[in-house]
Amino acid sequence: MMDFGLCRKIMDNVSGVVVGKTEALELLMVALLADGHVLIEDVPGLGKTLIAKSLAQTIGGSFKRVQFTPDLLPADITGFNIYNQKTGQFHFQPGPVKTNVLLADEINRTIPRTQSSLLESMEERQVTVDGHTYLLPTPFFVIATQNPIELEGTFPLPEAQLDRFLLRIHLGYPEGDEEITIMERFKKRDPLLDLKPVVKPEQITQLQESRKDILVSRPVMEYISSIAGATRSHEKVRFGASPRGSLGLMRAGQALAALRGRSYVLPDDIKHLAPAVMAHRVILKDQERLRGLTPEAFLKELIRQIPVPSPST
Amino acid sequence: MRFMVASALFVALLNGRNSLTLLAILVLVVVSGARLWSRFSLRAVTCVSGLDKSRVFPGEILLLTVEAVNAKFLPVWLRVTIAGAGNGLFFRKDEPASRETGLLWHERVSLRWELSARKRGVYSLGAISLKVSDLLGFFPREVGRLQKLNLIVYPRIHTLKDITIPRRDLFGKAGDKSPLQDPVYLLGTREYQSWRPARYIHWKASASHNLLQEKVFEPSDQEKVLLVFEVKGFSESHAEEELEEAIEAAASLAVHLEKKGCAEGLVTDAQLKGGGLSVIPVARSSGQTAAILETLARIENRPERDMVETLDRGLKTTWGTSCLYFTYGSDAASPVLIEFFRRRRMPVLHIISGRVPTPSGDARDPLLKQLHLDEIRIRDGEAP
Repeated sequence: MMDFGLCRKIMDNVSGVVVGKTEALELLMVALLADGHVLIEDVPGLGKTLIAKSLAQTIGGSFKRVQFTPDLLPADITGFNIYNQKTGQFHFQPGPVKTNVLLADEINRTIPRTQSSLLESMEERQVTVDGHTYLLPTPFFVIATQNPIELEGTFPLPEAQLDRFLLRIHLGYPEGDEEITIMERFKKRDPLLDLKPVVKPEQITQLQESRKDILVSRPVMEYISSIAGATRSHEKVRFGASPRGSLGLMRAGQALAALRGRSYVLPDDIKHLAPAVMAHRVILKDQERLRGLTPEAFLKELIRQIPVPSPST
Repeated sequence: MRFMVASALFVALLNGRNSLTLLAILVLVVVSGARLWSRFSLRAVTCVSGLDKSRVFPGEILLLTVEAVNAKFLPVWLRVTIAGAGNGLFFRKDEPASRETGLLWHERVSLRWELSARKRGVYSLGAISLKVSDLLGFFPREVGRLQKLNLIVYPRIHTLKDITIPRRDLFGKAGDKSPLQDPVYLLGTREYQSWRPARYIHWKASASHNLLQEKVFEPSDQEKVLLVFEVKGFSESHAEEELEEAIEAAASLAVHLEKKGCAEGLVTDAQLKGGGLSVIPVARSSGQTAAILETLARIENRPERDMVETLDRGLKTTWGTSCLYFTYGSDAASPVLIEFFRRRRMPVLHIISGRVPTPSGDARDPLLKQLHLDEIRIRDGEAP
């Protein structure tokens, strides 16, 4: 089995730039190990782009950033065929999606058609242009950001697109003295400029493969299933979590167990990850939403009510 | 009472009546003990009240919980009385407003009431009074009142008929009269609708399908709708029922517009119960519809401010904002306000609620359309 201590090295390296945000960083690592994608959602100025860029730089490989704007078209993401006048042939010009780490900044500012162009890439790790399919490099990790407050001029991500993200993360404001540390760290020079990669992309692929060997016992699987089932049958919910959500929760559980140095998943891992994995897959009824209930709060309450499997079960 | 018992004891002692003496001493001890018990019963008793929801829709059930903890060895008797129900907020299953319970040493008791909200409004479930006493209930003492619990009951949401809100498109022309096609991006095609301009026909797709197809565009600009709710006419006509209907229609439209992805706002001249925002600028954010519903829930049938002044001072309307203007009758609409909208070239859909003949509106003005509330409401058995 691969040494997951490498993940700690990645996190330490990112922490050299990003102050605090330990939990968000851990969740990012979970998504990376689980071969999933992440949607970072929070108000402006909290370091969404910084944390994404730092992680991308740390894991080496190729990195592309796309600023999503209303005039961005699908071909600007996937790539397109160009007619070469010299050869008289069309040749494929790959888009920014052909990379190891793609930072989709402010993804909800582009039109749904362009957002949807990422669907195939995110799920199947390939792009199809004019009938030809091109494989994407491995690992392929999408970090998307969006601002949930200012919705004017934005296009909310469709449910199908949201379901493709393994986790949705909120960063939150800095705590205690963190703000002062941020000012001190960025006073003279942007530390991002000095950030060096600590792993190679191939090592990340190996870690992802090793993550699959982490044991998930049947009671834990049943626990995941009962959480997903409860979201589907609850009176406050319009649409519950999909089976892709259950699968994502299991993979994320394996990744968290690996990060914490265990070869097996505990129900506590699932309990900890469920809001981040399930909240964006659950659509609450209008009445609940209008009275201020958020999917995260709903899930936390729901998980509190579902019995956790005991060691004897 | 103690004086009477003491007198009885004195007489019994004087006459040498042992049984009466014993009885008097017993009563005296019990009464003094109960008084002392009552005095100490106040200590280390804490109560917390809470509602499971702070915002509900009419017809929904909410749970009021009062949790009492007796953190000492002395048992106490407790009575909790809920005031503030009635007038739109009722106890379910004819539950009594008062409940009594005994609290043993270090015991926690949770008392629950089910309430049903039947009418929109702002309710304050205050004056939850607590009385504690000895277990015999001889000397009750009021602990005090718990903090007020505020509840907002949103207006009822109905499914309404689909209405076309007049829009001002590029070059200031309303709707399809614009010389340019806005939105800009072609999303796809669909079967051509006869009422659509012929320039929207996609000729290549039509030839390919052997059926007329029209272009479907992605919106390049989001609709912005301002709800203007004027209560002046309702107040002058004492039209309570019509006011409720209009508020419910406005709330239903706000929810409908939010689902469509429109930016929306609200302005009202009404007095708002418990305070609140009479101007909610047009925006599209996560809590916008909830804020509009809250203001609509607070509306009382009394005007408090001049509408034109409110609009002039408090509202910065951006280009392309359409307006849904709610009044009691067509004559209740302020000509000054209509002129205000006209001056700003704001397309207006004037929705009238009163039992008055439906006005035809100014057919020459493409920016002003009038509708009666009955025209957008769906009656029982009618398809949306």
